[in-house]
Amino acid sequence: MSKVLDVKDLEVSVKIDNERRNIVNKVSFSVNEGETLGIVGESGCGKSMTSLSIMDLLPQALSVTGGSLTLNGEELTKLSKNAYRKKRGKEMAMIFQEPMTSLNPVYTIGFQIVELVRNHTKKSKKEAYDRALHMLKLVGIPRADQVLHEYPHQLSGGMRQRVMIAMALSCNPGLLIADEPTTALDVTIQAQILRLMQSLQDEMNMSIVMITHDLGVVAETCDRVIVMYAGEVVEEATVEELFESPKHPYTKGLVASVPNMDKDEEYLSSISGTVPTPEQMPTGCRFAPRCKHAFEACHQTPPLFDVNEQSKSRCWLYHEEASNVQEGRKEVGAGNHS
Amino acid sequence: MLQFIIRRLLHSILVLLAISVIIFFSIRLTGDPVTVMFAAGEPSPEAIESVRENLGLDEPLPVQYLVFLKNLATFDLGESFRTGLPVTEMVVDKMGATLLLAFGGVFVAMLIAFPVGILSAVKRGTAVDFFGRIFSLIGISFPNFWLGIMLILIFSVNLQWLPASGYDGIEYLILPSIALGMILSGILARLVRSSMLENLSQQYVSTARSKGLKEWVVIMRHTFRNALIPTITFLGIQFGSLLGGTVIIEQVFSWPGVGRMIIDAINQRDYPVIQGGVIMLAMIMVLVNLLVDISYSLIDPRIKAGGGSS
Ligand SMILES: Nc1ncnc2c1ncn2[C@@H]1O[C@H](COP(=O)(O)OP(=O)(O)OP(=O)(O)O)[C@@H](O)[C@H]1O
Ligand SMILES: [Mg+2]
Repeated sequence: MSKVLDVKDLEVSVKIDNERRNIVNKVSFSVNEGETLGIVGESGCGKSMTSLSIMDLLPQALSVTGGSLTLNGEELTKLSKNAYRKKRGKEMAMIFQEPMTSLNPVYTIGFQIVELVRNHTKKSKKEAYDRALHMLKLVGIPRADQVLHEYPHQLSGGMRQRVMIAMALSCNPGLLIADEPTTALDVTIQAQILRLMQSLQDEMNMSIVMITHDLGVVAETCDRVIVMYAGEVVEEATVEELFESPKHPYTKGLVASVPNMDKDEEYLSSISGTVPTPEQMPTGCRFAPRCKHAFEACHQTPPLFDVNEQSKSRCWLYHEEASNVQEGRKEVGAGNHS
Repeated sequence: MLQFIIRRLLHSILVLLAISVIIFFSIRLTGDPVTVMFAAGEPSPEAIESVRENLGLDEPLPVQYLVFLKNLATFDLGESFRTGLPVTEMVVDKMGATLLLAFGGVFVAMLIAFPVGILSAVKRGTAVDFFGRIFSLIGISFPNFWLGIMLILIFSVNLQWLPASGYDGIEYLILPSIALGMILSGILARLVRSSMLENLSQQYVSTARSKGLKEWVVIMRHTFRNALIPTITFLGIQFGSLLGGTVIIEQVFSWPGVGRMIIDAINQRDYPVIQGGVIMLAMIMVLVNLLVDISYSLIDPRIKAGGGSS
């Protein structure tokens, strides 16, 4: 399997009052062809900024200050603005959380899709409209030929998200970044949209980066997952590993906080405390202040340990040489049931 | 759409009625036209009486008003006390020049404000933005008659580039349009800037960028098109005060328009001319507002002509 996207040591920082602060810190992951990679984590952990930096769409105050981004073997960070622009919509596309505001209110659905198609291809207006119509039908929009001439406000949120998907995929991008594509939708619509994305993925053989804080979405759609905490990757795992044996205490907390019908739990566990802000970032392990297993070593910044073939964890409990690792593991396991 | 236009028309007629009452009665507080007409000599009471009768000024005020209204309905604005010419003709004659000046002012305002406002917003926080905002402030602070005089001094008297008074070709329009449009351009630039900033932070702008569109397409086709919506309404509302502004600018530049005619008529207490001029200006204002409302529903598909957004 070839790598479609390779992110290495990505750093995104913000400049406030002439002071730089890292919002995304040495984040690395890759996405294989036809694969769905999930990025999960609490609000504010840097999921959106990571994805926006891949698209070169960061807000003005923010910028990529380190690392490399490779798309289909081509280094993106060295591209000129213009060359980067030409990749957007063609080789990589993005859909956003808010379908209600993602489309331009003053242009018709057809116009907005045609605009994208004609931006990247030499298609005539007629051909581009045919393409738009084809895409609308593909994403399951009823009365597609009418919707083509309608304005966004005439459609429901779910329909608008379908339009966004139709538009994003209209030039066959190899990579789709979906930033919480279903968060703003009703539960039944959510499931429909996720299923749609999966079937389109199979059909078009594209890779998806699925950003979410909903582990249900992860379980349903992802092949592999990275868990982010305070701007860092704290765990990387296949989706089976993640749910069967989460490694990092933060991941354990996340997984444990999902209501589980099988287990006979009396209350939902949740992680106490909140994500630290960039201003008051703890030194050493960033999760330590909220971690019930924190010990001496956690004052040092942990690297991302390879736990096994499929998973990595940024936690000293997985330090191979430490003799207390095994104990630590048991302790963590025990903590999970208490 | 038709229903919407009819409703707006009825509304407009009410507004015009209210204006007619205000003009009609307020003019009559300014003094007796007959005494002014005879200012030179010492007329006999009989002479005054007969002039009064001729002009219909002997009737009680409410009756005079109703007669005025009745004639207004047929666009008969009466005759000038001074010249005896039909006022409707006089006003129509001058209205072209006034409208030309007003549109010149709007044009200048847009010509300056759109680029300044857009650049300020796009280059927010930079030197460009700073100068843009300084410009707005300056534009707003200078009274238009003063600006008019300065323009004449610089471009007509000193540089002799452009004519200072009258109307005899397009070059005559330039200075008065600038003088008239400057304040509006200052306010408009601010509005465009804030409206652009508001829209630039909208999600659909990110979507447009994510499509790989050129930045100027994102700015103009996507953002500016949306930012234009409040701007158009604002221009419609401001057109009224701009028409008001022509009265002064026409004085400064000896512009042969309705404004100058009204000022002359006020000096002579020529009631029908004052009434007629003001009523016609008011009608134009109401008409422009109506057109703006209609065009608004064309620019913003969310507004259904018929009221309310869905
Ligand atoms: N324009 C900005 N200026 C300064 N800081 C910012 C800006 N935008 C985002 N941040 C900071 O970047 C961090 C990461 O934000 P990001 O939007 O990536 O989080 P997220 O994981 O997507 O959260 P959510 O689930 O709420 O979408 C946050 O701490 C936020 O405060
Ligand atoms: Mg986000």
